[in-house]
Amino acid sequence: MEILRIENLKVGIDGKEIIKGLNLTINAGEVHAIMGPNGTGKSTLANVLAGKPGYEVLEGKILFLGKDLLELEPEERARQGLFLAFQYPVEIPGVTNANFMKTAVNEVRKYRNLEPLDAFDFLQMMKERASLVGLDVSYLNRNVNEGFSGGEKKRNEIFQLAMLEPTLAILDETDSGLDIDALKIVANGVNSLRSSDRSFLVITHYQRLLNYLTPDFVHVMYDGKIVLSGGSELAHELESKGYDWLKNGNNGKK
Amino acid sequence: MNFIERVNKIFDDRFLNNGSSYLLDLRKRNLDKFNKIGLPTLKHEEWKYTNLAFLNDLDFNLLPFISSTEAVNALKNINFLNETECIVIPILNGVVEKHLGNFEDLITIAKFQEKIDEDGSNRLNLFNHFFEASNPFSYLNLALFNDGVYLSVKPNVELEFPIVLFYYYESEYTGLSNTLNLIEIPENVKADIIILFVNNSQEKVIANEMTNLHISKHANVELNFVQIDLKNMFLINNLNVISESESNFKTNVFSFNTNFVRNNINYDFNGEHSTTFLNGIYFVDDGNFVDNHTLVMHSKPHCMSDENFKGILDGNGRAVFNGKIYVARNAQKTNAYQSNKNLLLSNSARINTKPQLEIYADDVKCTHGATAGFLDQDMLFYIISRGISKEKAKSLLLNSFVSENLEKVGSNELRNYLKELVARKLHLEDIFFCSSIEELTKVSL
Amino acid sequence: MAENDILKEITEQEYKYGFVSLIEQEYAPKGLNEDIIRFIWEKKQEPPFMLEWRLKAYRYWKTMKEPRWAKVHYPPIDYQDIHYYAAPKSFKEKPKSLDEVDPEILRTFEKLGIPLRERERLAGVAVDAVLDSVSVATTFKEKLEELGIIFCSISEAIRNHPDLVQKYLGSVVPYTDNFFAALNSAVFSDGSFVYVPKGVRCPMELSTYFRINASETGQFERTLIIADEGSYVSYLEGCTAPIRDENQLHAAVVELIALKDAEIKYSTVQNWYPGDKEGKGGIYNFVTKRGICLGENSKISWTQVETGSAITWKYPSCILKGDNSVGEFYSIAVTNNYQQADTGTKMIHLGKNTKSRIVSKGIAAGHSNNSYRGLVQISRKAEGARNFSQCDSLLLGDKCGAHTFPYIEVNNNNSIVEHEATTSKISDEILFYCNQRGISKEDAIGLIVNGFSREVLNQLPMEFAVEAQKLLAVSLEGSVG
Repeated sequence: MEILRIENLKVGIDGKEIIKGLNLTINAGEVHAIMGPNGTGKSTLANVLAGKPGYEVLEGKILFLGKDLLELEPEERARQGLFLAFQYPVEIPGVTNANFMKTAVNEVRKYRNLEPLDAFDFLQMMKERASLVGLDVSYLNRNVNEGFSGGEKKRNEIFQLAMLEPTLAILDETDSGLDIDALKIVANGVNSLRSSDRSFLVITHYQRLLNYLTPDFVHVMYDGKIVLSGGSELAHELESKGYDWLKNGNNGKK
Repeated sequence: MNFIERVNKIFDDRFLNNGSSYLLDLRKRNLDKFNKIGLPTLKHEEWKYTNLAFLNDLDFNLLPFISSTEAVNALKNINFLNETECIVIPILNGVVEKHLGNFEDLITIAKFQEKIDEDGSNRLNLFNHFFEASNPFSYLNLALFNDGVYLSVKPNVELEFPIVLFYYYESEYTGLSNTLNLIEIPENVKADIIILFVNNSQEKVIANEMTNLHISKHANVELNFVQIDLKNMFLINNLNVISESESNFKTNVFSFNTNFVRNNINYDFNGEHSTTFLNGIYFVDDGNFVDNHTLVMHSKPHCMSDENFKGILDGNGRAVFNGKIYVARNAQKTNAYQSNKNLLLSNSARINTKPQLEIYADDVKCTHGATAGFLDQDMLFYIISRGISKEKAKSLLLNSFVSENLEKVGSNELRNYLKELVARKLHLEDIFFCSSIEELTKVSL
Repeated sequence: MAENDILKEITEQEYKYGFVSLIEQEYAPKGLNEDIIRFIWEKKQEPPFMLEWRLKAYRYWKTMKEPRWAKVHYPPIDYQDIHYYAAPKSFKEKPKSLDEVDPEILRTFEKLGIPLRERERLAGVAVDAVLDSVSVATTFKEKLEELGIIFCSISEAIRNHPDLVQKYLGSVVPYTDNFFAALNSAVFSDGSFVYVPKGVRCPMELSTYFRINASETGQFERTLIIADEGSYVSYLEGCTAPIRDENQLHAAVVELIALKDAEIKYSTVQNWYPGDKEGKGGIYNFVTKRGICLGENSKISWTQVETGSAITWKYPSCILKGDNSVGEFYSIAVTNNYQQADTGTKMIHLGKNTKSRIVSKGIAAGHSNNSYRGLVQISRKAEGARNFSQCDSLLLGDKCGAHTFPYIEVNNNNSIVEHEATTSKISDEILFYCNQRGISKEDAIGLIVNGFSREVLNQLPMEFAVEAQKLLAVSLEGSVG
């Protein structure tokens, strides 16, 4: 089943074109990785998919579960099952993680015509999903991301992913700023959330996350386009040859 | 007749042939001072943003005497008071009623006039510099006060229940109230005081209330002002505090949807190694106005003050903040902090803020900051991206903006009452703000 | 050296520029009335519209009261005991070239470190020198004229460019603005005038040196700078005065006008005589400086280093009228002995997406009082306006005072205003740390004061930055810098 289809997407910010004609299709249960040097538009793609204000879609279309994604408000996208793990998770003083997640989970459930979760079940669910990413229960009482270390913030993102059970999860540079132990924890968390009805789009600069999280497809993005696509072995090739290899005109499908 | 003329007429009619000669002398002296300054205009630096001209158009007299029945009913609606053991002193249209509750052995409660005839004169002198400094309304209060509370606690007692000064107003005509309170907290006392205003008048009430608080050595006092939904009311709320060494004081001022409130809060460190916290939250919407004027005088070394006022402004609501930190020449090792942050939700809302530092000692650490702005767009997007609606995301952020100051309230009951009020105001009733996840299981979803 | 000794040395530091030049002066009689105004007008050979304007200003001034709201204290000024016009006798006419200038005057400016002849040879800075009430020399005039830039004394501008003057004089600071602006409008005798035509980037710094020499005179200069569309100009101003026991009044008005896409950078190093260590004498510096960003994308930037004057009362301000216009204010104010400074800025945001930035550094020593007073006003229509203000005070010694009085007025919901202020002394820990690294206490204070001021000093043009640093050093202590 087709989850996401991006056709000839062009995106600008402040009048400057960042994504210059991008095509990508993701089917149910697939894990896609997008790699590429800094400044090629990887994070722009993640933000456009989640509906962050400030980006201008110049051309192309995005279908999510067969519907026009660009027509939807960011919160509607989330409720329909699109999740973005932020590269820089925001700190929200005064709002505890638990309150935040309870509000979000119930809003999403309401949208799907489901009854709100029973308090006891909700608590159980939170504890269970928190342990999935090794997040101590005490973090749920703390304000969202406030005073969290870089690793804790990223783990909190995966915890929220687990809570909201999306159809498509986008991980935007989730590996950046993580040491090897934190990276393993995050990767294991993601792996345990992989299923036949959940797809992932993993955006990363380095290959190391992909060592723990084997993608079905790897795409290389350069100058606003996907210039190379292949299997997980492409990541290793890229790691050994470096991105300069791309810049030297070695473009084209493999 | 303008405001001044009416005030003088009330004085002639009601106070000229009343009370002891000491009292009459006090009134006369202060009325003279008030007449000399007159009703402040926008040219008066301390009233630069607060227009009082409307007072000249009001035809008023002293408020009538009323029975306590209505007040008792009003009290029942304030649920945090029912949930906790407390002592309530009703002040009905400016007249002190017999208090509710029985804690006679720990607390002395009297009418201020009775006290002033004994030895109150000396006690009040302590606050003279505030009367000079603050504003003509303290002179007005001292000239026309009709009643007031004298309150004291036995030394070395830690009160486990709050003392509530419950101001209740009800009148069929436009009326004026001036009450004068004196609270003396002896050494090693811990006390929690709540000053609560409820207005049930159809006509306008001009309330110019004053509380003078003396905190002795090692004492620990928290004073909460609750000013909620005050319609038809012009409240000038004056608080003067003098603290002795090694004492702690905290005040929280909550002004939600008030038609006109001016808080004059003056604080003076009269001893070393003391701390004070001045916090507040104000919400203004259409037709609302709040003006918080604070003065923290570091007259003695080694003290710390921390001030934090936060405001949310909507509709055509207006707010003023004017905070001054004064550090005297010899007040070395002073630490003073001050912050005023504002969120403007509407294009017709207005904020004027003026944080000031006046510093004459060199070995000090003083900072102040003020901001005016709108909600953080990155935070907003983060919340929305989790499937939460824009409206709710905004409310969550507004709640988080003020929650820092809500959490500073010592009494659980009052704190929860205010949190609930804020949640309702922000349409977040269906979110219970639990402080721990275990609490979640205690409420139905 | 113990800290007390350093502070003592600081407070006993003497004013370098306190000499009096023996130049024959021509005075207007003391006092102020309509005849005096006519006298000035005649002396300046101005067109009739100026007399009318001056008289209107004078009549308005007579109805006004001297302001008392600033945190400064001084005995009442007797406005009838001042000469409103003083000029070196040697020129009835302004000299055509430096050769015609009285050698004593040239020596005066040389003593001040402004050798006019040398400046003339050195590329980079064009100088207009104003002694008492009269502009004595303007260098580089011809070179500027080639580019269409007018840089001359305001008296010349009134005679030679009356259209420009009539259009813009008083358009930013009307004579009704305040007591001292009204007085200045009535009696101003000279000052500088700059006009930069469309699209021209002025290739050199323009600079004016003001010097009060005569006794019992007031100095009332008037500066008007107009930057036409897309132009750029950087203007510098420096001031000194001799040591005199009496207080002298300096009430200047500066008006800046930036049209569309234009930028004006205005820098001041103010070193009027501050009075002696007992607080006797010194200049009362009551100045109105204001610029308007009239056109879109225009920018006005004020930088000031205030070390002199017995009393300083000035608030260089920006009216941000054009959309996307930018106002900046960078200030260092140093007060010592019995000096009083009440200075700051006003940023009036009227246009959309206007931005302002305020960086104020106050350093107080001796018995002085140093106040920052500033207004940030966001009007309802100034959508998307931004302001950031940072006001820091440093106290040297325990007999001085540092005060901060910001006024913030926000009238819409899509602007952001942020104000931060700190007051501190140089911590013993930092001093000890420096000592431990072999740096003496006085050097350490110097280092710290310099670091404290760096953000502002960096805004000054190179040539001035060096001078300003020296001045800071001189004002606070010989070794600072």
